[in-house]
Amino acid sequence: MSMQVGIVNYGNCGNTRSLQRSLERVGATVSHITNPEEYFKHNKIILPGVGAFADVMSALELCGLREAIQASQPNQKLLGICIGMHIMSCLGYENGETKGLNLIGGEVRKMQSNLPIPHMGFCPIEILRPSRLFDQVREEEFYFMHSYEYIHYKGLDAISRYGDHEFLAALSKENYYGVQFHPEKSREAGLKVLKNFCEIE
Amino acid sequence: MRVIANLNVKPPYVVKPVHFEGLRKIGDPVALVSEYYDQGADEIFFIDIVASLYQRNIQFDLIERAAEKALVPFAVGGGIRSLEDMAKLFHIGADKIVLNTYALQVNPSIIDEAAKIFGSQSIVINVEAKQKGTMWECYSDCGREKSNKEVISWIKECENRGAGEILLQSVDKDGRQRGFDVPLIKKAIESVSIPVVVASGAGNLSHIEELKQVGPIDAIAISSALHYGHMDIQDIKQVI
Repeated sequence: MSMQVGIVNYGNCGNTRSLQRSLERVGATVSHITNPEEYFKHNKIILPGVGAFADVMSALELCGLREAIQASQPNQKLLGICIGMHIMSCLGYENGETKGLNLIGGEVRKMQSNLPIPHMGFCPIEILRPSRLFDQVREEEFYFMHSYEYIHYKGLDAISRYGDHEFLAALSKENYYGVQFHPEKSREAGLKVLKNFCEIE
Repeated sequence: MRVIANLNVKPPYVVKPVHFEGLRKIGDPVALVSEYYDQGADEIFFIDIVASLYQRNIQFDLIERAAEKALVPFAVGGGIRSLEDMAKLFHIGADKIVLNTYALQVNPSIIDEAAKIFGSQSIVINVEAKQKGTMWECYSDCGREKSNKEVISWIKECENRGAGEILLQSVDKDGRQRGFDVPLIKKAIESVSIPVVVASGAGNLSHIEELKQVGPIDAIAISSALHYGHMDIQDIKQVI
């Protein structure tokens, strides 16, 4: 099967090298997607983490990728990591209101907790229903770094907890997958999740 | 509680100053990142402590090679003076960036700008706190330059500007391995609702235990004790 993966380029932000290195470790060949033509050549695409909602959406708008992603074909599998997952929603509330790609519904709002925000660190997840991403994932701790969370979701695959607060850790709908944590920075467990994504038929 | 390996770098070596002076060579950054990753570090901080002090450029090649060894978040600081510097760092292996001198002494609004583009969660402000009477003053340039800014009001300002995390170092305690500045830490944690990474002073496990009196600690950053083998990361994880 093809282990060719495209990482969407947001311009300034996105921890693209960390993601690329981790994908290469699991045997993927990685390219960076900067325009619609390149987008449609890939069947496996990742929207990376490290960014802010409004800025990422405007970067995608500028290079025509917002429309391309919204016109994704059923055979194109997408994985959103952290902000990459957040922009798959309808609406984000970071620095005002910004429309997302509206691929999987839901909204993104600031985490509610009396513990320090952003939430940072390795945290266990609870897998609620089978997902290709979590095949043979024995270790269940992943690295989270986020001030915002996904709400009003459907397609919930896994949750996590920060103090008393339960929040979405992973979801999926049709050919779209999203994880709140950073698999590229979650040791071997994270690599397994990335490998599983690369191997989805 | 996160356990972070805190590497001070004077390229091409990891070094360890005492009270931010007298840089003793510790070893090769790439090898040390690999070592502390294998020991179980939750994160690794890589801070070039001479870039601002000696007005040097960021050593992107060295950072890129060191970042490769960490399958955990890799925070990079030292001499960051622009959004372009930050963007470049995120594209060569950084997952977070650490600011001090430029934000404190030149242009604090870089914090706001950075948070808007990269998200608060990836912006760490390094604070070098030196006691002055009943309060603490912020220093920069590896503990050399005063700022006339008071630590608690600076960290509150950083939070308001959108910083995601504070790395709290103590000029008085750093490198001595005789314990943390507990009053400073307590005051800082009570003053902000963003995570505070506690640093400077860990020498043995009792110092870590002592921190528990303060209350919940989000993260600790360890340098000397790791470099000189007095503790390893698994030892620390047993007591936290």
